[in-house]
Amino acid sequence: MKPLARSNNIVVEEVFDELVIYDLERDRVHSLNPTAAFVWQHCDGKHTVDQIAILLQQEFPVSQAVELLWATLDRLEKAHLLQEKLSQSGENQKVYTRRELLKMVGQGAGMIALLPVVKSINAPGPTQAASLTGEGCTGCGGPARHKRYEICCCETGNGRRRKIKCRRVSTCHFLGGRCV
Amino acid sequence: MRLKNNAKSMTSHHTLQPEEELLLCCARTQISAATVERVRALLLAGLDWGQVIALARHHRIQPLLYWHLRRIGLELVPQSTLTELQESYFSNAWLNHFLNKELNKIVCLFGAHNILAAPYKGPNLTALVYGNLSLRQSGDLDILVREQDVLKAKELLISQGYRPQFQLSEIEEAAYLQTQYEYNFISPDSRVAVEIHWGFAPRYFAHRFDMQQLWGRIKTTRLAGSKVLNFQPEDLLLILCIHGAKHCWSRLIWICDVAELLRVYPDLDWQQILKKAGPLSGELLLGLLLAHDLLDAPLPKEIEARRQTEPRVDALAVRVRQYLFQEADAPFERFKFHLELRSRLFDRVRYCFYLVTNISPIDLEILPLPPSLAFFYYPLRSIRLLSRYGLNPLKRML
Repeated sequence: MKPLARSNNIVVEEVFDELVIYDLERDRVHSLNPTAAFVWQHCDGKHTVDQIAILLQQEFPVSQAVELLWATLDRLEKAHLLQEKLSQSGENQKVYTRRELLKMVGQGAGMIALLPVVKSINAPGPTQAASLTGEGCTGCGGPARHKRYEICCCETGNGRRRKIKCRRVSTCHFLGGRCV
Repeated sequence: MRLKNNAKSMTSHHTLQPEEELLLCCARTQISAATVERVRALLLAGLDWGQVIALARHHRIQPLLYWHLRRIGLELVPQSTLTELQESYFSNAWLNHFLNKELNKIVCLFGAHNILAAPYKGPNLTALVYGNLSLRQSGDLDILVREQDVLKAKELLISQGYRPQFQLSEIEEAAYLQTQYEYNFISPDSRVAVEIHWGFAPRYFAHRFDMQQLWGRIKTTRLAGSKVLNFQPEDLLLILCIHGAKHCWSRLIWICDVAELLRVYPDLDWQQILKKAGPLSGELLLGLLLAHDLLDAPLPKEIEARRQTEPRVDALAVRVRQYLFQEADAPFERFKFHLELRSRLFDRVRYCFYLVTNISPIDLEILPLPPSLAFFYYPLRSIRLLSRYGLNPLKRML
């Protein structure tokens, strides 16, 4: 079995000790710790699972490399970062939880850091995108005072908020610094 | 007032709040050893992190702040703050990649229909000047097209599901194209705002670029994996300075753009820049002084010499430094700022004249009039502007 990492519609960036994958198709951002990043980078369709397990053991001082690898592949798969679903066979069928893995590899601080972590966050939606780019507005929830306007709460500077009038909108928010 | 009036250099830092000083130290891609030490000292002294985040969000430098804090002060920043900044960094990076993909799609679409399109600011500027799409916050896509291509570009965007910000009749649209400089569109899912530009500032800003010459200087380059039309750095510098001046330099990110451009292009042809700037030299000089005074950008000797002869611009730079960290949004102050940026009386009169006669879609929306009564828009606009710019300061004075 040769796992293959997804390559379409994603952008990969190394940010300090993490590998960050921007999924432009599913609007998600995943940050992979060094263990998960190592496995994902070796899912090239050329290495078999057994070969990756050997490489993992060479790179990181772990005794349960196969279990750790399957746990990592499971997390990568759940994050839609692999091309195909993988199926385990034989005695390795069980996918271990973080707690079980911890028991296996030991409880030391160094060992905890070796556990695979795939942290995912949602990419910004329309309103979030606007607020992330600095100037955000949210509807105040109250009724509009004027039929031509919606009243929105907006950041004006230094984190302060005030009410502004937005024209031509039913659900007002700022995008690119404008009411839309 | 947090800065001394006569402050001209970073020595004025001691009058800043520590949170503001941290932002100034981090609003750059490369930090000197001395600045690293200063950041560490600020972190050790303790900061109001809520204020730091709010300021960084307003000034749009959250990614740079995260980048440097993660590197310099990992153990000195509260975990919750670091997590918040990290998530914001990732979300912004995702948005920039998403915008970049959309930008490529639009530029290809325009190209297929023989529309020359030069993206600037947004992801394009980030890749060109910051060298990393994750380090600058972008909110929209700015694309320059030739004036004769605006309506064709509009139709193409509409064919992709984009909707224009303003619904204009044919007559209104013709007037709009003559008096304005950008046409804004929103993507079907409201995620992407596209600004189609045929100029860089409203007509009342008075000085306009020679667009024909500018188009002649644009070159094709490869950026972030795609072929795009790009401005010469000398032109881009001027465009960034006009943009900053238009917004009265109220956000640090715009000053940061200028400083980073100067860092990436240390060998700019200053004689050519000053010649090109012509009547826009006030805008140019102001941008350069701010980048130098606040973010340590190198100031060439030609500009140093010009600084001595333009105390008016120097005084404006001091004013910007004063209100940069104060609450923004004072329309009358903006009006005054734009007036003071113009050295000649003729330019000031022209600014006022165009400001009053430049009918905007907002004027058309407030009171829809039939074409036969269109002349009423001029007094109506004057009243609207007076209420926006003039009445409140007058009330305060009384």
